[in-house]
Amino acid sequence: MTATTSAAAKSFFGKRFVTDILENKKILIINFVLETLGLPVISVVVLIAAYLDKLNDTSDQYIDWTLFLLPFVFIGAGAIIISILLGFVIALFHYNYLYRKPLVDMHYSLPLSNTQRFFADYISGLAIYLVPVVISVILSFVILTVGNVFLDIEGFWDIFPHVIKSGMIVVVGMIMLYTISVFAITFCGSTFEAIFSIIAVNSIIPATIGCVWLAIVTTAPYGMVGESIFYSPVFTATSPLGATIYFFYYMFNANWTDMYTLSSFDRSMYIRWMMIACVVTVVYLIAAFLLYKLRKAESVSKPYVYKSFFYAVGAMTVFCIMTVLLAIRINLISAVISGVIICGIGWFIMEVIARRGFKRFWTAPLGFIAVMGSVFLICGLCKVTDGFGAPRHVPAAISVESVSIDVNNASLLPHKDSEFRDKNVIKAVTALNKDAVDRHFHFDKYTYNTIDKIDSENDKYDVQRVEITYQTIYGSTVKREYTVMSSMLSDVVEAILCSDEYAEEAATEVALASINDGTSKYYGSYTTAQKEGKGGRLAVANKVNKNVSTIALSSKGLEEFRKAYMQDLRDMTPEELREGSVYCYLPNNYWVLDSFANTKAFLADHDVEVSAIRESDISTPGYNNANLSVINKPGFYSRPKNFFGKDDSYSSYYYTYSYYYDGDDVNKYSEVDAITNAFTDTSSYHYSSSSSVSDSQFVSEEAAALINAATPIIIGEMPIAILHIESNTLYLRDTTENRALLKAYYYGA
Amino acid sequence: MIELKNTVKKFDSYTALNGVDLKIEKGTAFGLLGSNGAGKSTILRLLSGIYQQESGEVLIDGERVYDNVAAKQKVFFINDETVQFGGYTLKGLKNYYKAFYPNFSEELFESLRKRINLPLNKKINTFSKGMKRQAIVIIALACRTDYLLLDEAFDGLDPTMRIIVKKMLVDAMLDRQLTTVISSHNLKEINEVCDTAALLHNGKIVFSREIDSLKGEVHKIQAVFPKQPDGTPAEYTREDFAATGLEILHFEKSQSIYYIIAKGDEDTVRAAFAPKEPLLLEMIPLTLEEIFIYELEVLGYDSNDISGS
Repeated sequence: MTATTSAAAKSFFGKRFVTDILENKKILIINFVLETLGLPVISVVVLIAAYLDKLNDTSDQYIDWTLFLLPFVFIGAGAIIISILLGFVIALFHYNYLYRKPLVDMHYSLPLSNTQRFFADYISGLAIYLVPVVISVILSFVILTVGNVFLDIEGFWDIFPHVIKSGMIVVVGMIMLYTISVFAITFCGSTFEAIFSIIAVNSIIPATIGCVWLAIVTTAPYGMVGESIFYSPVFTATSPLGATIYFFYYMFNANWTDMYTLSSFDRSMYIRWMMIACVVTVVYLIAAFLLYKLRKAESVSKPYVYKSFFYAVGAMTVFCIMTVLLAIRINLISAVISGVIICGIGWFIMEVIARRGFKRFWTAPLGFIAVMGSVFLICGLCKVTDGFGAPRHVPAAISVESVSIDVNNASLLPHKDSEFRDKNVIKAVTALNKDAVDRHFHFDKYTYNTIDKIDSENDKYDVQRVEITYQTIYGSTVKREYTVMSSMLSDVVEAILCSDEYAEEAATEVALASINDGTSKYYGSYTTAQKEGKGGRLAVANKVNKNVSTIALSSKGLEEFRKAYMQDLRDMTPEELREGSVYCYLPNNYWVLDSFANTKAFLADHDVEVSAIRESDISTPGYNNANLSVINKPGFYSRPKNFFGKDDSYSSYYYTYSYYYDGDDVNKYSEVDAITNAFTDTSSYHYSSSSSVSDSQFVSEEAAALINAATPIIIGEMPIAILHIESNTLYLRDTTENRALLKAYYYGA
Repeated sequence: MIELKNTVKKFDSYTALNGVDLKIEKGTAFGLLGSNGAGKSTILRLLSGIYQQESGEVLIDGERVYDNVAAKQKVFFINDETVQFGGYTLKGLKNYYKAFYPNFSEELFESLRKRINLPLNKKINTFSKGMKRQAIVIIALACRTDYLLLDEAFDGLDPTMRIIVKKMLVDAMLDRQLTTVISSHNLKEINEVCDTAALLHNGKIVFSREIDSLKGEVHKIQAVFPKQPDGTPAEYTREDFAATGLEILHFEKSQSIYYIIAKGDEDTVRAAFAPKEPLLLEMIPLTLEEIFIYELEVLGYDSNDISGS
């Protein structure tokens, strides 16, 4: 036999990968069994449940079956949870050679570079972790698809995109869990520390992020929304725990029946979350690789190969404990003392374990003092800098991709959580945000301020609770909550009403209302109704809310109408919105302005002509009273609670009073300089309270002229009169012409 | 060829190798000797790419070893433990290594296995310590690498098996010029297997040369000198002999007989003693073990502490 030397180095990456799989085949089998007990079992349960549902059986037998299925749901869910948690174990098994000298010798002496060894181990572990998941998903898909052939489950295919998307969250979360575990393993030198560190790192990352946020929110709460951390990618996309929270958030927020009308959250956040989570996972992987590559083989059996990570985990734990104690404190001194004692005991126990005794133990108190000092420094800085300036931070309009604004009682907006990408809306919302922040932090500059600053006068102002959520182009979510004067919302309302998003949502709402008009089957989604070719009945009413015509439309016709109305809303300028007059009403009180050429043409094509209001439109046949009431010279004031005997929930509403109301009382209130009817509820007030506030109910040609001149939209100005007709409220703008009309109404032409 | 150039290896603050220079020619059977903690195993781990030196160079056929697949492919390292193989069967372990060493010879493996009659499909943790060593040695030989590094290679082997394993190694050396580096405390075995040896102490090489020449260069001398003119016995000190230019490793006098261990070839030693006209001058060649003990004694290492001696 002659000695031979291979001329060139071969790459043994593949060999290592295969041998790793073979060496860990037991855990692969365990994982596969768990995965088989997971989704496939749940899929079978779903099919049986769907079958029982089809039977529409309400007998005891049905209940027995349901109870029979319940344990299988628990088995399936339990198996899935255990198989997910196997990520820890697989990582530990794949890198266990790092903790035993003979194994280090064996593995490090093989003809592999550190890079090849690390990635072969990483990928083979990932394969053992995820391949059973993939097989389980395929198996479940087959079971469900075959079952669906026989059962024809309603909406079966509609939910699939969501199932895949939510499944991807789980997969990314699992990869992150495995990668963080590998990361924790690489800085440890013994099995005990590795197990401890895996659990510690997986917990401490989200805990620290959460506690930084907690420190900010508790020290500088203005505008900050505590729970918003749970849907910020900084929290949800950086740890498996965060991913779990995001998964449940997605499950409960996704529109499972209609992929095309997704909420803002799952439309834009999902991709962003995925990207951030993947990038974060790669960062963990790179960190793990660098630690692995730089670690010395001789470090085996040391508790921590990189002791700085032990101290980092310890410091973060101390920070979290102290932050929580300070946040829930009743007394600052007792919170600090108890925190120091709790953290100190924990710290020294961990030091003894990590040092395997009391070797150079005098350094342990020094470390603890340094960490405690740093924690107090951070908390102090947080306090001094007003939560590191977070409450003052308003994203620049240019950096905002979309914004959603939720205002209580936001009657003009179709959906409270509507997301706006329109630049004008974004600019208006950021301006509102800046205004609110400025009024809070520069209190003295303003006549009236945000309500948070003046608690003692809580009810003095007409206020609205506003919740703003920004999605920035950098992938972050910024959420704020303020109490602002209603009039501060004028520009936001105007921008929203002129936005493309509003146009689409309003037109779709009208179309959907027409579809649901007079049918037994209710449609929650316009898209679904369109798919099913569902037509509808479009009701058109005049300014006094009298039905002018109801047009029967096919699915196609309804879509034509929707497009026409949407186009008109898109084309509407802010000037037209503020100054234009209403031509007619559509379902759900959506209005058509005189300038809406496409809608008017559509209505004309269907022989609908809406005339101006005449005297006869005002009176109710058979009754002497007119259905019109006019409030002249309304004064807009906010009022103390319960002044009118209403409960607290009404305290933030606008109320209108007639000119002859008790002047002394009026002086107690704070007058506001503008209103925005998006948030007013004057009509309900008027009809639910004494008729004495209605100063006139004349039926005349002048009254009809007054109605024709009035508008349902008033934004950022004071009307000279309010008109109530049926359930509609109209406002008379303060113009020379309108003053003349009002005078004529009272005194005759 | 294996080369260590001014190699320094530290474990935290402890310096295990302090500027070691060493050359091992291809085809050599090289013995690494040294006191406990001298750095023998560290050198083997550096050569197998497990450890990375702090400074200096560790080369195999001119290539650095650490993180270098090409160089590591030429080396097989057997450490002094066997627990790591416990979970495998011999067949499983063979297949494991076979995947990483493309020159692996099934034929050779089978012939060696049959020679020592090891079961293929039994878990290695059921083997005796000696059987475990045999198992890894036959796998190492079947991998047919150019360099075989053995740390305490013969530990746990019974005398018969030692002979068989030694024969296997010698066969491989003769057949394919296998370079073997053996670290052992058992100097007798190094003496039997190796042609070259190096002595390490406190992280430094004390000497590195062929064993035969080493033996020829160190002598145990028994000498008796004539009485002085006044009739008193001749009295010489260590320095008297050192002054002749000899390197004296050990000096002892019992009555009129001097026991001296000195370095140098036979002629030089005789020439150094000649002026003192010894009545008796007997030169006995030293065993490797004795050389080891006396060399370390010079360095202040207490021979009683050396295990295996």
